[in-house]
Amino acid sequence: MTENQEKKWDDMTLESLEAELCSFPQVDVPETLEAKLLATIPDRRPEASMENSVRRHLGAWDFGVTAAAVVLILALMLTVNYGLSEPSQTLSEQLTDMSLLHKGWELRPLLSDQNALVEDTNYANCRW
Amino acid sequence: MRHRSKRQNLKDIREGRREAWEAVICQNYKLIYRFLAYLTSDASLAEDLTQETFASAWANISRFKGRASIGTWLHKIAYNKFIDSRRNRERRVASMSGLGKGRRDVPETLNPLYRLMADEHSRLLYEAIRRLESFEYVAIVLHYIQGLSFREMAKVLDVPVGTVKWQTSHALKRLKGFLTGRV
Repeated sequence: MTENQEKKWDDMTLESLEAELCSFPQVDVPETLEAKLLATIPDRRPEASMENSVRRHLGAWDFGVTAAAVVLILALMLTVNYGLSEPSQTLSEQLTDMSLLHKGWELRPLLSDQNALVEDTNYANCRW
Repeated sequence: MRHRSKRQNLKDIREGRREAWEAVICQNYKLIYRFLAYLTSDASLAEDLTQETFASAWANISRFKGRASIGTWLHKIAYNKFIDSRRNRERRVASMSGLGKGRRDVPETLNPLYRLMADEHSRLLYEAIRRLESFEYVAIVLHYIQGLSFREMAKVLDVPVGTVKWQTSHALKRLKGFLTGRV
């Protein structure tokens, strides 16, 4: 190693080393390589590619059918749930008519008892 | 428009269209050969592995998802081919090991990097690169000589991007150490 080169390496920073590596001379490529590579391509398409293509289509079809089934089931469930959460008009009327008063029950004493219970459990004025 | 044509090109490749594959070969064979030449230090082995790489890529073209560039995918196949060939060789000759250090039974004239040594400066740099550990050597070759990004390198080597960054930085520091005679 000559003195000049030694000095050059000593002065070298990481950045300049990176630049040296990026401009490293390129390896010669054999002239016949391209022709060899092109000549070795089989005329037939890779079978795996065709098989996979069919498999992909089948997979997509399966996915579509499954998605449609899931949507249908969800729609059915929503319809049923919606029907239950919204009582029909007739049922509402029946519930209103079934008031306890019509059956001879007196609501007022029951409500006054409840108020009494609330008063009993009010400890705000208790002395300890 | 450009994106569409790229997508169409990818579709053509995956469908196994010969013209599309020819274009891939023309665009990438030099890069792949050079990468293998650096890994093997043997022109004929690099040529054989380049052919194997493209043959294997063509046979498995349906597996190419297009998440990485085709160049990155070919680098990955080439690297795996090199690893396989090295394993086979090591089985045959236990004494031969080391990456980029050439086969002992192959004369230096067969080394495709021999021409690089005509220039004293390049020869010293190349000698220093050859002293690096295998993972450091590959990192330097992929990043600085092949021009791959860290993300692409991570895909080729199947390691996290952070690891690749660390390996490259570590390799560069070690290389500087060799050149300045501090290591």
